[in-house]
Amino acid sequence: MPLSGPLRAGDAVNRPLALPFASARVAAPLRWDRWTLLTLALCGFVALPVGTVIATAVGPDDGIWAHLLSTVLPVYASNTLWLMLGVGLGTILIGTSTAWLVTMYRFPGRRILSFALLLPLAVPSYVLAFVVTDQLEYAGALQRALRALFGWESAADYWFPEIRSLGGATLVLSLVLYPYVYLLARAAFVEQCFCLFEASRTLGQGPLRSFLRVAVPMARPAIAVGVALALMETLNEFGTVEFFAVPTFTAGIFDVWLNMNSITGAAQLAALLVVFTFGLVLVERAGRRRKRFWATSTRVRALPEYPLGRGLGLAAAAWCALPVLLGFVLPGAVLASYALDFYAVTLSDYAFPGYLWNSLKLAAWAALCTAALGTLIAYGVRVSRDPKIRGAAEAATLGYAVPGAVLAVGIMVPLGLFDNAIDAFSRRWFGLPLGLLLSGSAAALVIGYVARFMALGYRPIDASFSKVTPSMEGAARTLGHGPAATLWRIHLPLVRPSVIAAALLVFVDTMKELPLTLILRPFNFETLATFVYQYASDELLEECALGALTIVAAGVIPVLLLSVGIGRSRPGHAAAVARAPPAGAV
Amino acid sequence: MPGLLLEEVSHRYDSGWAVRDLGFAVEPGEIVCLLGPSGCGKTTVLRLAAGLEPLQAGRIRIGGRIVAEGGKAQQVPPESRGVGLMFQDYALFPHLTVRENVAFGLARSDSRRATWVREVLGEMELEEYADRYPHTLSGGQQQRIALLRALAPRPRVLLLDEPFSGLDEHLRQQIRMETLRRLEGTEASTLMVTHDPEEAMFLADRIVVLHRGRLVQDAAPIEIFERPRDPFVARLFGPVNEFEGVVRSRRVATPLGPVAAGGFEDGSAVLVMVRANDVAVLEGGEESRSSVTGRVRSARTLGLQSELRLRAGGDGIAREIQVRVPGVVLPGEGSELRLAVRAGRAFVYPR
Amino acid sequence: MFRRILSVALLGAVLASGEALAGGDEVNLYSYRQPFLIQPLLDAFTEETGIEVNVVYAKKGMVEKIKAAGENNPADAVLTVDIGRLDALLQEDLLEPVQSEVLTTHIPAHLRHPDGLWFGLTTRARVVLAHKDRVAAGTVQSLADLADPELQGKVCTRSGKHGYNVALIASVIAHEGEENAEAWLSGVKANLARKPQGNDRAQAKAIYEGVCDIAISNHYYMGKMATNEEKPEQKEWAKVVRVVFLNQDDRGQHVNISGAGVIRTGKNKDAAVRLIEFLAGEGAQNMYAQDNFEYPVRAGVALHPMLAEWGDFMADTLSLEDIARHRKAATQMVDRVRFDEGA
Repeated sequence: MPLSGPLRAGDAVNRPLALPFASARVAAPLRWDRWTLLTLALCGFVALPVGTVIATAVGPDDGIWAHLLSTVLPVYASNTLWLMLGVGLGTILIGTSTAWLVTMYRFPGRRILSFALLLPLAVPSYVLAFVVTDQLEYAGALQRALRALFGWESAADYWFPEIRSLGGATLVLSLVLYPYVYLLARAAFVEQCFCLFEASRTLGQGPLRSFLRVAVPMARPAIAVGVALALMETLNEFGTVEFFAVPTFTAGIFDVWLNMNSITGAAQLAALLVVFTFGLVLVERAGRRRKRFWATSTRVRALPEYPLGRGLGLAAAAWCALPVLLGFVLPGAVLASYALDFYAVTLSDYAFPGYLWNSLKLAAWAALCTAALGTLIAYGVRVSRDPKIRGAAEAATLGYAVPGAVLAVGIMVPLGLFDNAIDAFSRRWFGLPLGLLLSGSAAALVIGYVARFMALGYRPIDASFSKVTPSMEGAARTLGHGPAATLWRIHLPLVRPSVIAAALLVFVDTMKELPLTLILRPFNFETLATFVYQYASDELLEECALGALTIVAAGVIPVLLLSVGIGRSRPGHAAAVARAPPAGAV
Repeated sequence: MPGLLLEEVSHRYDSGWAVRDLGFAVEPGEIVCLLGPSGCGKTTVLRLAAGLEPLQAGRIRIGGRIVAEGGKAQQVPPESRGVGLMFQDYALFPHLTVRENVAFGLARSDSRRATWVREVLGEMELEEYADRYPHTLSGGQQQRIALLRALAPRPRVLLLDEPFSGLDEHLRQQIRMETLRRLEGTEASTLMVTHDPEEAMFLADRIVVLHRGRLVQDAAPIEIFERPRDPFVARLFGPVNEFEGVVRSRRVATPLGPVAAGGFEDGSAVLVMVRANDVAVLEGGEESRSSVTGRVRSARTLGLQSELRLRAGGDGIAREIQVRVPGVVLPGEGSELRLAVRAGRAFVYPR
Repeated sequence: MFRRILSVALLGAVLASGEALAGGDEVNLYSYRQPFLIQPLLDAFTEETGIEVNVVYAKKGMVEKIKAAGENNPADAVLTVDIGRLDALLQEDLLEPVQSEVLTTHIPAHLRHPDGLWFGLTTRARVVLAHKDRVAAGTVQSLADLADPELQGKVCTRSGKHGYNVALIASVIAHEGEENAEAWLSGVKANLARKPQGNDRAQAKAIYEGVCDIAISNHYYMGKMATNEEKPEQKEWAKVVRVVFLNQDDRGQHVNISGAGVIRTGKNKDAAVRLIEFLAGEGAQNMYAQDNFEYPVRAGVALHPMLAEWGDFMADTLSLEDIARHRKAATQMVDRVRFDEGA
């Protein structure tokens, strides 16, 4: 009896594989095997800071809740909710509509716009906030022009919408955050089976209705991920909303922490934020339970790219160009003009190239670690098929919803305990003081970024694992590959674009990240963001415009790479097809 | 020693039992077809055998060794079972070329690897496609590659999940033949899942019929066809005339005349089943002791066969009878024909 | 695979932990003050003493960072922009009592902690800026005047939650009790021309633009605006306003401090004391005064000519600890009257 591979003793534990009808399986007790343990350990590690914040929340509240509830908390909560609603609708509207236009239609400037629509991602929100107010406030270019035009003398002579308002904050956050929705929606549209859209057209639905009734619902998981990222960023946002004088929940956290000296009370508010976010995630999941979103057909054809008529084409171009102009060109141009005036301030700091190098190094480490851990966690969730493991993974992404400075505290506490324990151990047994191994070094920053940006790492990768059908996994397993080898040879090559996309997102966000960096950095350690911050915090952004411009520029390259990545992500593999022209049927 | 042995295997989803108390064996070199309608638990059996689904109850042995036992957490993982599984949707890896797909299960250091893959692709006339990606190939080509991929590591047990369902009728015949030839050259114990009785008859050394997760009959194809154990099996092969009756004097009265009641006692209520193909239309002079007259209601040709519907029987048991006759025999509507059940082809089951 | 991941992680840890344990002559500083203000002073210190200064600049989280590091805390000293952070450190028992002749001699008693836990290095007066033409001299003479209904729609300020305003309100609570203070704060709120926003400079700009006539601001911003060669428009803002010292007829002008303290768990406490002594020294005090328009704590140091021109003023001698103690009440009062929502 010929046998290629002798049966080995049960050296590895059997893993069930994901099935389309997995939800119908009888709930089994958690299997404590290698992958489960690894996944749980990774989730625990990443969720530790949020866990610490929640643990900190246990304690007396010093009457802070009663005070907040009777005074400003309702206002903060309503500001937060309105802001989330506005940013949610804004990002969906801009992100989804532009993604559809550049994917499905041909119009002037489409190719450039499909790249350019991602560019606002590279602009830190505080920069855009500064530029927008700078241009639109009383002394700004617009109002100056209006005054000159109509002969008004002072603010009392005319009405102009207040820029430092909820509306202003919504506008700015929507403009910097819509690229998340655009990015994921476009990837989803590109991968969608176009046959469904065509089926809808033959059933008498016009293009718009087909878009709304078929394409958007099909892309819903992707859009939901994009909006979730945008909303979590909105929730943790402090600098921009403070700048716009719109106190949100985050403002309450900092009041309680810094002005009322109650870290416990602040942690309680932050914990509430975490619970709220978790609730939103659950609601969204419940909303799409029992629905399938993958196409039933594996056949994929080239997208049609309908040409648009002259008028419609220009309208589409204008619609897609608007967010790019407001979110990227305007701040870029304003920064550039300031940079021309004030470049000396930046360049006089002889260490400036070092700041850039620090930023790039940190961003690269953060991107690498977050993407790697995100992939492992997403795969662990997939092989375990256990809702408890998925819950653990969700918990690991919550760091994105917590204000950075609060998360920093959640990181310092466990790292401090760890470092002190290691140090004590080393002193006792080797007589060698180690000091603060992690929290005293840039490692703390990388750990912090991983905890903060795991949502960016995990979610896109998790979503793209659906590209690997359960039978592909089964095939690899029955062909002698264990779970790790299957991940390496099947999943990774297939989801590589998403892993790279996740890494690039984390890279760009780390370049911009501020509160965590400020607090966790070691001595004498300056990044571009912290350098810009020392001026920006005093509303003196002009003087470090060159630094801010460098942040934007450093973000543009990965953003462009991202865009190239999506174009290639269509199954059917343009590259592969190019190598081997399609065969005729046998 | 059977290559694959299932013992008292049961498996349950939230929606109910998929498999209950199933047991059968597949010997090396043998092809066993798991036959049953969709949803009868066939695919679950394959997944359990491959180790893709944890076994809840029962025992599975491969080459005599227990690879899974119900209730035990330690089960041999799929990659260590020495099974090959060919998926219904083929599950070819879209990022690997045809050659890489076929060689996927072979050790990288395997020196036979390149040689074998080249040879086998040549035999299957797939050589020129070796460096293409699967999605550029036709359905038939993809099927062959999926089969070769599963066979490449020379599995002790080969599992095929509806291997021909994705192909059109014309291609299916050809590829079936090809597959059979390729399987005959191996010593693998092959278990194939299908819902097509004809396919099972064609390929299988033995057929295991599943109904609602339970084994109904496990026998050679001819046995299954000639002596279906229950009405469900009898209905698998084409249209059947079913008559209810009561045994009197060791016979049962039917619209097609009385049939032998087999071992049933007088007075027992039974179900008589006669396949449409087993009703003979008697030519002019032919006589039969038990022939009856039927009046033609409709007659349609199916090409190789014709399907007739007649009204036959009298005195309260008259009903419509389905008859299949070879060739283009199209009697006029209203004409009368003499009908008789072929000898020994009336199946009687308890009611 | 697992081994590969582990080795990558280890490599990362090793690469990242660059500067591990440096010893020798150095002092590690957490600074709430911005680097472009403080770096020249630190450079001068290093030049004079040979002691290297390592700095982390941050506005939040330093208290927690020191606590989390436990006995291995690397920070030796902290520099703050107001009393609030010093008090937070004190409450957490993170400050070391310092005995220093130099400091007790040169820093007036009401600007340092009785046990030497913290020291004020400069004072900053939170004054009123009033439009030179639109506001008649004598209209605003005290904090109480800011609540005068006469000034409805004429007052601008930054957020009531900002540390500078919190300290100001805390001083009112300390002097007049919560009830009176709250009535006063409501009165100020009713006079606001717009929702509190921006920084102190932005308030002068608002006066220049005609949004309001009167603003609350720290005094040194006037100096920074008036001498801003890079952004000459700020000179225009400064030109239209005059500085008004408040409460000169009663308790005196409210002042806050920028200060410093030594961290109890620091490893270079002697060097930290030397740094603070240096900052209280004549040269450093002079730099504070001339470059940053602050009022030096040390007697005999010349003021910036512009400040000298404003003339002497009487400072409120309320103890800074009293102010710190009422910060929470002040913050809650800002919430209660909904100060930040504007009039």
